[in-house]
Amino acid sequence: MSTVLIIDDDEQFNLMLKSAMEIKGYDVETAVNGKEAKALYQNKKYDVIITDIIMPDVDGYEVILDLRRMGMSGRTIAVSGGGRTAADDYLITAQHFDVAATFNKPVDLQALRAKVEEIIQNNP
Amino acid sequence: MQEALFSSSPTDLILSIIGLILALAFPLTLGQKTRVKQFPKPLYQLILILIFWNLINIVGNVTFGATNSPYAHILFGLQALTWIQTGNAARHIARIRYASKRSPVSALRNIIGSAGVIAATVMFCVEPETMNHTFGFHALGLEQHPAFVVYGLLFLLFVLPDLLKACYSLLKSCLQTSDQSLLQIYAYMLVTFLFFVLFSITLDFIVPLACRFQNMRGPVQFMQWYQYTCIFLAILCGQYFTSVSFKNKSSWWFLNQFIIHLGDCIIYFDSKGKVLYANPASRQILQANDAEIANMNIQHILPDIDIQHEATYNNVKVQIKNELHTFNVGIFTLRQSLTTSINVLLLSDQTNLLFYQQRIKTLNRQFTEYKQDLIRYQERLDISEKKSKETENINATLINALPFQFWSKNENGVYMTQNLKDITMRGNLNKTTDVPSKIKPEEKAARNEGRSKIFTTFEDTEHNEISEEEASINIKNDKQVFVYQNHFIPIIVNRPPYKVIGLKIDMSEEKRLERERNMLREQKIIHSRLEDLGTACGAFAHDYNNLLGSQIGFCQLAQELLNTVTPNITDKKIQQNLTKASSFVSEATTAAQRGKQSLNVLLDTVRGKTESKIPSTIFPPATIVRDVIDKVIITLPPNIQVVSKTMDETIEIKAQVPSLERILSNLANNAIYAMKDKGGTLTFEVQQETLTHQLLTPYAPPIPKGDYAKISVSDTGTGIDSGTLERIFAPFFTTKAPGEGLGLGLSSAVRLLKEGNAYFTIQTTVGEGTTFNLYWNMYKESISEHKE
Repeated sequence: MSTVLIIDDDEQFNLMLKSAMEIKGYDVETAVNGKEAKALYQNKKYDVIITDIIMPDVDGYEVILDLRRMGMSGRTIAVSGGGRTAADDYLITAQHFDVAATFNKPVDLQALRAKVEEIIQNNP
Repeated sequence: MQEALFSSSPTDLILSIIGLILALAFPLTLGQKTRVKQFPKPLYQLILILIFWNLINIVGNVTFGATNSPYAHILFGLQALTWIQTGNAARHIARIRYASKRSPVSALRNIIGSAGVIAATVMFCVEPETMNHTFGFHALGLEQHPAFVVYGLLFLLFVLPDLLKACYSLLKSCLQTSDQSLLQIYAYMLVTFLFFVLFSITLDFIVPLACRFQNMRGPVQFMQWYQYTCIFLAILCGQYFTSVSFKNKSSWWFLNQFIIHLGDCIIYFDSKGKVLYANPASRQILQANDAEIANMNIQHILPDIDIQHEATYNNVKVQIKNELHTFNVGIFTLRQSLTTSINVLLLSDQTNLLFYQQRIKTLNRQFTEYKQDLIRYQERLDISEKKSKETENINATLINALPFQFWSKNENGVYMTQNLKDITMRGNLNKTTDVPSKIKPEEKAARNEGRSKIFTTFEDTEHNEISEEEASINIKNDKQVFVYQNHFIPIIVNRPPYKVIGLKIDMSEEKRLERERNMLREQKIIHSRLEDLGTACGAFAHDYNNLLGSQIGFCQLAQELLNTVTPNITDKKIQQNLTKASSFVSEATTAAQRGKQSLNVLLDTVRGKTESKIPSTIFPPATIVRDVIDKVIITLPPNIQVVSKTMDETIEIKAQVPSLERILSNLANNAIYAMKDKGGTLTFEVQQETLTHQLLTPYAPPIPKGDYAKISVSDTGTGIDSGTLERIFAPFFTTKAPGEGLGLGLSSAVRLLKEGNAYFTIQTTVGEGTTFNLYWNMYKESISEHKE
């Protein structure tokens, strides 16, 4: 069974995504920040990692760069609700860091799940 | 035949009478020309002799004629008594020794001669025969002429020697005198004297002897001619005396006066040095009275000088009664005759002369010094004049170079100076006054009360003065307005009224720039408010997006769930309800979607206002850098200092002022943050950089070649490690502790740079510091002008 790690400081959003992924039959784990996530993904290899960018403590970029160093860029999806300045900036920067895909919040669940499935298919 | 003693001829009688008249008249003519009053006694004696002699001769001639008798002898003897003395008298006159007494020898000779005559006369009267026998020589026809012999002998013994001696005296005078006119007088006298003597001897003695006392007219008398020539001799003597005495008297008098009044000392002394005569000046010089001087010896006064030889000595030092004098000494010898001489000492006191010479020297030296002083003063004057001219030049140049109008007025309000700017603006007003109504009260206050005044005036395009209200109306209507700052500065010296300097400074440009700056500041404030609003909205949107995202996600999940569950429900009522619930969830989704849309509209509105409405302007970035520095300094920790290095004011760029300011503020704040612990220096730099080829640096997009305004912000902080460096441009990326900030602001900086078509590079060394270089395209006025 494919494993998915979801990192977001918004627990409700985490729950929602987890529910959406579990419906598809993935094994889903969640973390509320980069630090917590780091402990998880360093010990376990996930098929797909979905991360928010703006988080307290260790933010999404650090996670993304960390994963890039681990060669996991192809399995990483960045999600952002945009923010205090320009909405697209974060995702553009994320793309700069070679993530597999980026999604604006509110997330199109169909598209996200399709992307997750695609990543899992491409990276067995 | 008897010897004839007297002539009986009438010629002789007439001659005798003439001689008597001449002898009587002679004293009356004497001294008429020369005004000499005093004549020597011998002359008067001679005249008396002549009168007496001629008188006797006349008597003899008339009474006796050629006859001979004892009475004739007596008469003749009386006559002989007179002529026996003529030689003596003549000799005295010739020697000009009238002042001195007759020597006893000549008196004795006179007495002996007279005694001889008397004896002869007595003998002739008493013993004529004896006399005839004794003196009647039988030779030369003298047998009958004993009287001739006797008196001839007496003549030869007592008269002729004196006559010859007189001749000798004259000859000596002739030879001794150095005076040309005296020589003439002596020579003339000598010649005529000799002539008359020889003439009378010839006629009285030689001719009677030669013709044996007989001529065609009868017997010849002797001593007849001498009688006549004596008259001439007397006249001659008188003339001689007057000329010589006059001559002598004048030169002697002159010499005497000269010697008496001479300031120098003249002393006559004999060969042993004994003083014979000293002039009055010598008393003063030798500081002695006449008696003391008479006892002095010249050799003692001048011990070092040989007084026997004629010589002159200069600057001889002589001690006279404790005073050391310096004399010029002259010693001369006057030869008075072949054997006697008199020495003359001339002392001219040089002490005073030396003193005066010294004085003159001192005066000369002083004069030279004064002259030098004068030259020095002149030089000093020249220098100060030169300096003042230079200062004047500098002042004039400075005044003309002043970037504002300058004028000065004197106490009476007359224009004295104006600089070129003032002349260009108002024309040459030199030496004129303003119309009283046009003089500003501020100027009056400066002139009369010495108060400095500064105030602002406004002028329209035609340089007519307008009020401030009119000016602001004109500004609002975009009409040109000149703003001037006027200074009236009194030059305070003594009492009022004072001279006044006026400055009129064109502030139009400054005011315009101030207005623009105020406008920019206002824009900046608005912008920053909008920024804050945008930031707040962004944060709100972020959170709200998350919420909406969850909501929509859950709604979608719920719908999916409902869609899979509903068809399988057999109970129609439950199915209907489930379908209804699905539509409700769908509605909720739609509502959430709409909420997101309206959120986006809000965000767009806010962003659009802050980012697109700000116009790009052309400005020198250095001014913005300064603004940022000013802002940063306010909150600067004390261990950090801010330095602005190169600030090229000429560089201009075209950009949004607030953007640049925000970028620089962010960079500065990050730099200060990096140095907060150790302290350090924050350096700003603005300079031009030309890239000849594309610039590639890590962590930043490549920069194409071209001319750039390079703005650098450097710190000496911690530096950025490569891990951090990869992420610094992420929004909200921060290394700051919670509560210190939301992020580096670098992501927004990148965006702003991209919008401004600008580039950046970053150089960092851990532990040493970081430098951000911003490359902004240069705005080139010249190029745009060329394009136009």
